Amino acid sequence: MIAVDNDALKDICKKCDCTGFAPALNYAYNVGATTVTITDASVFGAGDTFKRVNVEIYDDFGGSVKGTIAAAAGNTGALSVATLSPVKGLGIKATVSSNGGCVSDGSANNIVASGSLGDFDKDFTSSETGNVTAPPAI
Amino acid sequence: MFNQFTIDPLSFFLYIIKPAFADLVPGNMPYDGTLHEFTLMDNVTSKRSIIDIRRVKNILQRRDASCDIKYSKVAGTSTRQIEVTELQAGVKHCKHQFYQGCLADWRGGDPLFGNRAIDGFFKDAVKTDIASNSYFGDVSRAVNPASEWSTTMYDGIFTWIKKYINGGVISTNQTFSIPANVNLRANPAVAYNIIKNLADRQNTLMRNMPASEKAIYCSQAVADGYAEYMRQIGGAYQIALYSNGVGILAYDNIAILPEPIWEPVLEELGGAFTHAAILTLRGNFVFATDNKYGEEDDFENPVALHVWREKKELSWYWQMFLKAGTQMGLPEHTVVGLSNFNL
Repeated sequence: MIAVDNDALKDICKKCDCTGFAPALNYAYNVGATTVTITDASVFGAGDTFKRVNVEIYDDFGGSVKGTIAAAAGNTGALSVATLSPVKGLGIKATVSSNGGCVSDGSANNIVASGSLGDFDKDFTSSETGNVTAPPAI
Repeated sequence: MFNQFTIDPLSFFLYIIKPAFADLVPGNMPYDGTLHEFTLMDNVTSKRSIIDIRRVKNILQRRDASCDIKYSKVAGTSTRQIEVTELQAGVKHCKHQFYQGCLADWRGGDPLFGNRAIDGFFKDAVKTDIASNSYFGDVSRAVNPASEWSTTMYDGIFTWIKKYINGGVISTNQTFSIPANVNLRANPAVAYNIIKNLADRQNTLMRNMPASEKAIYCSQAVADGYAEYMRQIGGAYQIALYSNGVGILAYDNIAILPEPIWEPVLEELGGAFTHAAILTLRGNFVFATDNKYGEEDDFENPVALHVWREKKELSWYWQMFLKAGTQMGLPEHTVVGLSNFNL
C-alpha cells in the first residue's frame, strides 16, 4: 500500500524523447528566376504526424524571406528571393514541428542549385500527449 | 518616452528616437516581467519535471464489528514538464558601409549610430521578442511573412492555455468567447461584461482565495473599455485600488493589469478588435531560462552576450545566446476570455 498514487510518475523518463522522428528538408534554388523552393521529406515516429515547417531564407545583409509548409511531404512553393542580395551567399533556417510535440531546427548555408538542410538539432521537446493530462479523479 | 541625441555644434542636428514597443517592455536582461508578474526559473538547463500533488478528502470511515481497517490514498499525482529551447540573435555593423553619401559628414564623431546605440537597440529588440513570445509564442504556428512581431520562437502562455483547455485541465466553464469585431472603447458595457465574466466563472477553490493573490491580465482595449464604463456610471461606483501610490483598475479588489503589447500582437494574429483577458493567480505564469548558458569568451567562460570588433571585416558584431520557455504553475485556476481561441 502506498499513500501517494505514483502511476503517473513511473514513466516520467520515457516521455523524454522523440525516437523515430527524422527531420529532413530539401531545397532547390533557381538563380535565374530568383526563387527558392523547400520540400519536406521528414519521417515521423509511430503515431506522430507532420504539423508545420516554418522556413526563413536570409542573406548576409539583414534581408529575409519567410515561408511555410502546411502538409506532409509538401513544399513552400517558389519563394521569391529577388529582394535578397546573393553577394555573400544565401542561407536557409527551418523549424519542423509535429502534432506529437517534436520540434527540430535545421539550416543550410551558402546554398547552391539544390541540396538539403542539415545540422538538425536533436534536442526534441517531449511529446505533447504525455505532457498535458487531466488531473486524476480523486 | 523619447530619447534625444545631439552631436557637436559643427554639425548640429537633433535626433528623436521614436517610441517603440520595446519601451513598453520594462526591466533588465534576460527577463523581468509583466513580465514582473511571471515567476522566473533561471536554472532550467533543458527540461524539468513538475509533479503536481493533489491532496484528497473523504478519508473517514465508519466502523463495523471487524478488526479490519480500509487504507486509503491521501494524494494523487500527475506530471508535466517545463522546457527551454536555445535561441540566438546577431547583429553586425560596418561603419564604413553606413556612412555613405550625405552621411559621410558625420563619420567623424557621431554618437547616435555608434556601437552603444546599436547595443541598446539590439537588447531592446531581444526584450520585445521575449515579451511577445512569452505570451503568444507558438512554434507550430504558420509564419506570416509580413508579421511585425516574433511569435514562433517558443511556446507561450496562450499556447499552454489552449493545450490545457484541450486536455481538460482548464474546465470549459472557465472559458468564454469575447464577441468578435467589437470596439471596446466605444462599447464599454461589453468590456465590463468581460471583466464580470472572468470573476463569475472562477471555480470554487479559486473564488475563495484572497483577491490579493489573483490578478486580471487583459489587453489595453479591455482595460480602457472598463475604465470608460466606470466613468459613465458615475463616481459612486468607482472601484480603485492603489498600488505604490498609483491608482489602478480593479474588480472586487482583484487588480486589473493591462499588458500593453497584447493589443498590437492580437491584432496582427486575429485581425482588428481581437481581445483577450485572463483571471488567474499571481505568479502563475512561469518563465524558464538557464543563467549559465552562453558561448565561451576569450577566457572560456560561457557568456550570453558577445560584442567585439572584427578587424578583418571592419565590423562590429553582437551575438546573444539564451534559453527560454514558459509554463503555468496551476493552470486549473485560470479563467480566460478570447475573441478567437485559434490564434
